[in-house]
Amino acid sequence: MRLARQVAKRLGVFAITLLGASVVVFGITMALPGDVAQVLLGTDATPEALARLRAQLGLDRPWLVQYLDWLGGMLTGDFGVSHLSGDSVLSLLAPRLAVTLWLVGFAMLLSLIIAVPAGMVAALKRRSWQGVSVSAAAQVGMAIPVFWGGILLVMVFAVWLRWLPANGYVPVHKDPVGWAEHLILPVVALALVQAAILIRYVRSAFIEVLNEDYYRTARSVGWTPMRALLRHGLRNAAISLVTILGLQVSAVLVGAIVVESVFTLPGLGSLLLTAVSQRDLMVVQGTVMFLVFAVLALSAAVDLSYLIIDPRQRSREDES
Amino acid sequence: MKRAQLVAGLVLVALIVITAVVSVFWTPFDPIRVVPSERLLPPGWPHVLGTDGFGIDILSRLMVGARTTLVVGIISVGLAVLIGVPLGMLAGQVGGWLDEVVMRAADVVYALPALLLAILLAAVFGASTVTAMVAIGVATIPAVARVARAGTKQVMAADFVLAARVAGTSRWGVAGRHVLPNIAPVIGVQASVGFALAILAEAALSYLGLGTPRPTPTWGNMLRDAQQYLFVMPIQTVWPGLAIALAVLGFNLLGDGLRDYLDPRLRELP
Amino acid sequence: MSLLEVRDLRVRFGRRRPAVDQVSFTIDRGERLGVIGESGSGKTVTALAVMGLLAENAVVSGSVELAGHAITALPERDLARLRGDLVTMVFQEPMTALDPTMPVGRQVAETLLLHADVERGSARARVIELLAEVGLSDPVRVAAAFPHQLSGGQRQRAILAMALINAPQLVICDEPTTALDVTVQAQVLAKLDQALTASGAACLFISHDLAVVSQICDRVLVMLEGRIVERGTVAELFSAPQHPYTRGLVEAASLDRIEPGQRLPTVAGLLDDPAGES
Repeated sequence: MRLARQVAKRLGVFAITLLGASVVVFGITMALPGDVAQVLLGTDATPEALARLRAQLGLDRPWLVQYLDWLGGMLTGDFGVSHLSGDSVLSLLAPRLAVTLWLVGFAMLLSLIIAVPAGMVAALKRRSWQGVSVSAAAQVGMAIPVFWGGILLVMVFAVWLRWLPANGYVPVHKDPVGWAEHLILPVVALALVQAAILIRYVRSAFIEVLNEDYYRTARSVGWTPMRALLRHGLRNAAISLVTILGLQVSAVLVGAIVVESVFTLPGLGSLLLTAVSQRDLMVVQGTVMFLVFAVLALSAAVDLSYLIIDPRQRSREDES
Repeated sequence: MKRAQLVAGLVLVALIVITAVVSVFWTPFDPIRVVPSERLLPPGWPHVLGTDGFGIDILSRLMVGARTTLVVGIISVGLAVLIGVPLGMLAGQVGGWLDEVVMRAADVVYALPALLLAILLAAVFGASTVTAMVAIGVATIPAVARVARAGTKQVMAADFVLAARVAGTSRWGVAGRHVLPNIAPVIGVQASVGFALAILAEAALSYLGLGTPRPTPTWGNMLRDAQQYLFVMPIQTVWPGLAIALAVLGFNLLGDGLRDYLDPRLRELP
Repeated sequence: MSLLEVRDLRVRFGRRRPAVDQVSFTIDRGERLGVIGESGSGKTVTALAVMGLLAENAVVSGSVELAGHAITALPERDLARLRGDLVTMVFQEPMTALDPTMPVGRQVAETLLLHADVERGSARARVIELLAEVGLSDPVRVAAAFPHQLSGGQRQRAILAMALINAPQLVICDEPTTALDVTVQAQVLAKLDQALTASGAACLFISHDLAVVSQICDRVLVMLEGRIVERGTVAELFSAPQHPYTRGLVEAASLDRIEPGQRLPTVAGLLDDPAGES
């Protein structure tokens, strides 16, 4: 069972990486000058009060015990408790997750809808002005920081044209139209920047296909260049694109955090930034760990999906 | 056409470096001092690009911003190269379990992109230029290490290295004499591309308030300030954004151009 | 009138020396012409010019006329309609010439559906039938298989089926058996010969191997550095090669005969009857 072994291996890498990341995240928070109790009570706190709070928070235990406790908690879905508000991190995460998921999901989709056709044109017409201008546009798009792109979109569509709101959010179940209106600009901002990056990869994936013998075969039996590329190139290019998408997952999530800040969307990014400004360490730690988990899980999922796209991976099974 | 890319990249990068150097000695106005009577002036004379919400000349702040950008870029990419290249060479030469460990560590860092690292560091130590540089530098290590590792493996397999080994050169002698000079060009390309990403990351961090704080001007925190006046003076959001975009474009073009110049076989790659 | 008429063909890429220069030849209906030359001699470029498949940066002059169509002047859309229908090409690398992500049968069926107005069901039946005709013993399984599940010989047969399914008038073969091992090579050549005879298609057969060409073709062109240096029947070439390069080729082909094993039977058979099998 080659397939099962491959899946198991990928999941093993996922688990080890997650564990490593948890050590790093925990280690950084442990490097806090003073400690959480000190931060909470301020510098003029009495030693007795400090000791009491430390005992209460479990900070007097050895690091390893604290780490294992934290890790064990996360495995059971307990991401800790905010020292400031007393809310569990999970209860803070849950309502904001939807916002970030909508943003990331739609942006990914839109960026693919833009990048795949554009990348195909850039590859197919790479020696004529159409292809060169697509490549040049992608080069420029890559240089535009996502927050500036967002601000420019607001300037045009909210300030000048007044078509769409400049910021804020409405949940979909309360007002679907308002929800869509508030999501359009953030999604477009994130998607455009992402698309610019993807176009270059799509282009080179399709250029590879153009140099393949099977593409020449398809041409020789009567497919036009575009149809040959669609019919035989898409799937083959997808195999290499999937790897890129896996690598882009973290970039998109990071972009989402920034975009949320531009449009004041109440997602995970704003939760994180508020927690940082309040130095609410447990919330930062829990949310970062959750995002790390999301990045790793998504890229593992993307990696595994090429088992579905590439029949050569699938059917190794039959041979063994 | 490809040569044009390299030249355009060089020109843009030179422009930014010159601006940054000039800003050390001269700016049209004081880039820090608040002048309440001159708030939010539109572009004109003597404030060519206008003034911000504190009455400070925007051009002067942009010039000093170039300096911040370059310093953060140089230190973070330098950090990444100093750590990433030896790690990558080690992994590529020794192979086996060490290789595995280094690559897994790279995976871990990949899962903690610059922004998340910076958020963690800012939460623990407070946001500063240093936390931003460390976060960006550490996040850049994997890319550099991967390139160094791949290059090392390639060089170590080459005939002339085998010949040197047969002739009795030690492993580390080979590393110094053959591997490093041979992988230097690809490291240079990667550093240039990494520099572009570092500029973007630094701008994002200071835009979010996770990097260099006011009153030190950075392009990111200038945009953050300008956004408050989006409905009053939208033109202000254009300058810092344009500066970031031109700088990133410059380093990207330089990286691409260098790659093509050094190795024409890579021309079709992204 | 000939099926294919190539006149003063000249192809150059960029500012380099022309890859093909002053090339003229004709192929009649049902006739088989071999082109011999080493790699870089311009034989593949000539074939691609006949297909209208040259890279965009190729500068072409001269004329290629195929069954009344001026190939060098036709727009891509019209050329695509001719390809796979009037003229097809079998390439050198059976390992990579098929789309690795699509079952082989579907790739062959597509070619039929692209040019002929048939239903999917009958297309499938026709594919299975043709796969059997080119010598695949288990056509149903082969049709359902992905390329990587087949051997080189099986793939090249499938490609042959793909080339023949629309009964083209001209089949261009570019080193179709070079990548195969010797036994398989002989079998595939025999099938090609059979199929060409059955359909009455003409053939432009490209190879660096005189022995292989002589099994399929009646007439031969010898190309060197983009030009035709010698032309004649297979028998003429073997008995009285003019150009020094051709002489070398003939000697090499004869050397093969002396070597034990390998292509011995086919070459020996050929020398006994220099006119070839035709």
